[in-house]
Amino acid sequence: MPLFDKFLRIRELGILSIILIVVIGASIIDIRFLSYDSWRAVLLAIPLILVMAMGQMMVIICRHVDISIGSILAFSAIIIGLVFIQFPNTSLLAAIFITAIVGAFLGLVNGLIVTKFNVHSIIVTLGTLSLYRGLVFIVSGGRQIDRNDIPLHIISFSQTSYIFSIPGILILSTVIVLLTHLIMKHSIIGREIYATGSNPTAAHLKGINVTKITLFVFGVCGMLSGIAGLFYASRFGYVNPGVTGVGIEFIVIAGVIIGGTSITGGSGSVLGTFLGILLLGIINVALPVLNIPGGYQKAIYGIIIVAALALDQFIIYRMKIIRGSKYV
Amino acid sequence: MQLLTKNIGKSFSGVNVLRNVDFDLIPGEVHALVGENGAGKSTFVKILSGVYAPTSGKILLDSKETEINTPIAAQKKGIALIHQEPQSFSHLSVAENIFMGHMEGKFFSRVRWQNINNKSKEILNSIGLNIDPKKIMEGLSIADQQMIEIAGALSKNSKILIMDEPTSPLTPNEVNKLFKIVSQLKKRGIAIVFISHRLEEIRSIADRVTIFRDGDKIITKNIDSISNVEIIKYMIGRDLKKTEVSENIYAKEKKVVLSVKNLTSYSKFRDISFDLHKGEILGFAGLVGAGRTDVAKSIFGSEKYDSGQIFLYGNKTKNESPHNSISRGLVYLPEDRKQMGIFGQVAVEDNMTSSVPNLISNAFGIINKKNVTSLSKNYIEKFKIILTSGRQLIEELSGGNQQKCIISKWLLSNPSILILDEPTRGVDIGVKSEMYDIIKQLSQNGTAIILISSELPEILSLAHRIVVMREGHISNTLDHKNASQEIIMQNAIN
Repeated sequence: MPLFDKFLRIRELGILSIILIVVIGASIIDIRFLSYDSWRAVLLAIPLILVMAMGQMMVIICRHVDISIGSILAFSAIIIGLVFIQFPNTSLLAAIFITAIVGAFLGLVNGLIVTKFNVHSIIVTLGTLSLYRGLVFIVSGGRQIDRNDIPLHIISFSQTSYIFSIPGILILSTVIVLLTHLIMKHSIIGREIYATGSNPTAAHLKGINVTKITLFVFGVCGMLSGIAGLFYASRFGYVNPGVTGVGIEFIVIAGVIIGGTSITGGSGSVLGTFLGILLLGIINVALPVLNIPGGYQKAIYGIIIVAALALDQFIIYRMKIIRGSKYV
Repeated sequence: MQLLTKNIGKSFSGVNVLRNVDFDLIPGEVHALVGENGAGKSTFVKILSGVYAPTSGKILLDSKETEINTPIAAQKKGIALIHQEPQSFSHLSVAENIFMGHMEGKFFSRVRWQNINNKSKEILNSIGLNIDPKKIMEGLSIADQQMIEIAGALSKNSKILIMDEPTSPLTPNEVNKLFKIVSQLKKRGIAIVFISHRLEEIRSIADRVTIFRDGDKIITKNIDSISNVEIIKYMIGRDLKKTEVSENIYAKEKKVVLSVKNLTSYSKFRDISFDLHKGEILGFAGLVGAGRTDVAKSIFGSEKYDSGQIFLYGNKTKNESPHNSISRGLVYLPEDRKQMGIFGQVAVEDNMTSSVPNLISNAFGIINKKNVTSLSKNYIEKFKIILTSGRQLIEELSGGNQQKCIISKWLLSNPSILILDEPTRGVDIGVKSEMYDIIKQLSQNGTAIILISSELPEILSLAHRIVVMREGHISNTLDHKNASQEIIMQNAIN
C-alpha cells in the first residue's frame, strides 16, 4: 500500500481524517449540521480553548503539564471584572494587557515551584489549581461579576470588529496561533523548548538553560490562560467564582494530545493542536444539533476522545514502521 | 592544543578513586586509556570534561592553568566528550542536533535554517558522512548518532575529543567507519582520548596507551613498544597466589542439576550453553556489560529470552517467572542490593522470612511472629549478623550484614541452586572472607552455585570451573586448575 503509506507520513493527516469522518457522519445523520449557524457556533467556541491550548502545548512539549489553567482563567477574569466595576472605561488593549500580566504571574509561580523545588508539575499545578480557585473566591468575596458590570465595548469584542465585522476574539486568537507557530517552528527559544522536552539531560549538556525554558513555557501558558479569562468575560458576559473555567483543563489537554503532542515531550505542532481543538469544537456543537439527549452527550464526547487518541496512536505506530525507526 | 594534568586526584566521601595522575595529550594523537572496571579511567575523563571537579591537582591547557567546572566550560575550552550512548534529540533534525545550544542569536531571533543546514552538510561531508541534515534524528542508527555527536563537537571547533568506549555499541563495519573518521580528525590536529576494552582496536588506532589500575596511573607507553600480554599484566598487577579449591561432592558425583542450551536473547546475549553440577561453584567472569547478569536473570525468569532451552534436574522447564524458579529451588541474589535485594524500610526478621511465607503463617495466612523470630534467629547466630535486634530496619545494617541477611533469606527456602551476582560488592574485607566460607560450606553441602563476580581473585579461589563471557557470548570455559588472571582477562577482552 505505498499510497496509503505516503498518506500516513504526514503527521497531521491522521487527525484531519478523523475530523472529516465526524463532519461527514454528522451531516449524513442531520444535514442541518452544515448550516451557517452551526459553524458560527464552532468558530466562536474555539478561540478561548485554542488560546489556552497554545500555552498548554508548549508546556507539554517541554515534558510538563499545567492543570491549573482553569483557575488561572477564572482569577484573571475576576480581576478584570473588578477593574471594570471600578473603571468602566478601561480600553480593550489595557484589559488584554492586565489579564496577560495576571495570568503570566500565576504561570510563573507554577514554573518557579516546579524548577526550584523540583516537584513534578502534575502535583504542583494540581495544588495551585485549588489554590488559585481559592484566591478567586477570596478576591471576589464569592460574588459573581454580572453582565451589567462588563462594559459594552468588551462584550462586542467577542461579536464584531472593524475588520469585516469578524469577532475580535477570532482575530486575536488567530494572531496568537500564528505567533506561536512562528516561535515554536522558527525561533531559537522554540527549538530549545523542543530540545528540552526531547532530552532534558542532553539539553543541559548542550548548554541550554533548562530552568529558563521551563519558566518561559509556564509563564506563556499562564499568560494565554489569563487572556482567555478576558475572552470568557466578553463572550459569556459574566464571571462566576464557582463555575468559570472549572474543568476546562480537561478539554484543553485532551485537544492538545489529540492534536498529536506527545505526552512524553519533544513533539507536537501548532497545526495539530489547532485541529485537535477544532475536532472537539465540532463534536461539541454536533451533539446537540443531532438531538442527542444531554445525559448521553458527555459519554459520547468521552468515547470520541478516547477513539481519536487510539486511532492517532495507531497512526504514529504505522509511521514509525515506515520510517524504519528502531524505537517502535 | 596541548593538555597536561599534574597530580590529579579524586575522592568520593573520603575514598580515593583516583590518585596523582600525571597525563599529557599532544595535538593530533590518539591516546588510549585502558584498565579494569573501576580502575579510574572513567573518573579521569569525567574530570577532563568537566563532569567532576578534581579533589587535587591541576589541569594545564597550552601550559596555562585552567579550571574546568562544568561540561559547558569544557566545551567552550575545546574539550568535548562523546558519550558511549549518544545524547541526542530524537525529535529534532540532524542539523539541530549538531547546532543545538550554540546557534546564532537568542530568544525570539529566527533560526537560520539554511545556514545551519549548509554548515552541517559541510561538517558531515568533511568526515565523509552523507546524511541529510534535515532528516529527523529518530530512526538513525547508534553509529550515525555517534558521528553526529562528533560533528556537533567539530561545529564548536573542539580541539580535544574524549570518546568513552565509543565502539562497544557498534558493529565491526561501523567501527571501521568510525576509525576512518578518527584518523581524519588526527590529520587536522585534533587530539583524541579513546577508552576501549578491545586491545585489537587500540592497537589499530592509538599512538600511545595509558594504563590505569585501582585509581593509579601505572604507565604511558607508545603502542608499538608494548605487547598485549604486557598491557594485561599492567592492568591486573602482580600474580595473586591461588588458594586451594576444594574438590567435593561435585567431583565425586558429577550430577547435572541445571543445564542451559543455546540460550539467546537477541539484544543481550547469544548461544549460552553450560551445565551446573550438584555441589559445584561455577564462576562467571567477564567485563561489566558482557551479559552475565542478563543470562542469570533469564534463567531465574525475571528477564525474557528469545530462544534456547533450560533443563532443571533433567526436566525441560521454561522459567517464566521468579515465582516459578523459587518454587523449584532456584534462587537469585541480585547485584543491586539496595534496589532489588532488600526491603529497606522493613525489619531484618521480616526481610529474612519473606522467602518462606508458608513457614511463618497458619492456614488462614496469619503470620505467627514467634516463627518469624525463631527462624531468623538461627541464621543471625550462624552467620554472626551484627544488629541490635531482629526488629531493626535492614537498611540500618552495613552492606556486608545486609548481604548475609539476603543469603539467609534464600537459604531458608532451601534452594538447590543459588545464583550469586557480585555477592561481595561493597562489602568490607572481613565480611568478605566470611562470605567465602559460607559459599564454600554451601557447596560442600551439595548446593549448586553460580558465582558472578568481577573480582578475579574471588572467582579463582572459589570456583571449580570458570565460564568467561565476552560481549554476550561465552568465549571460554576453564577448569580452575588451568585458570589464571591472565588467561581469564585474555578471554574477557578481545
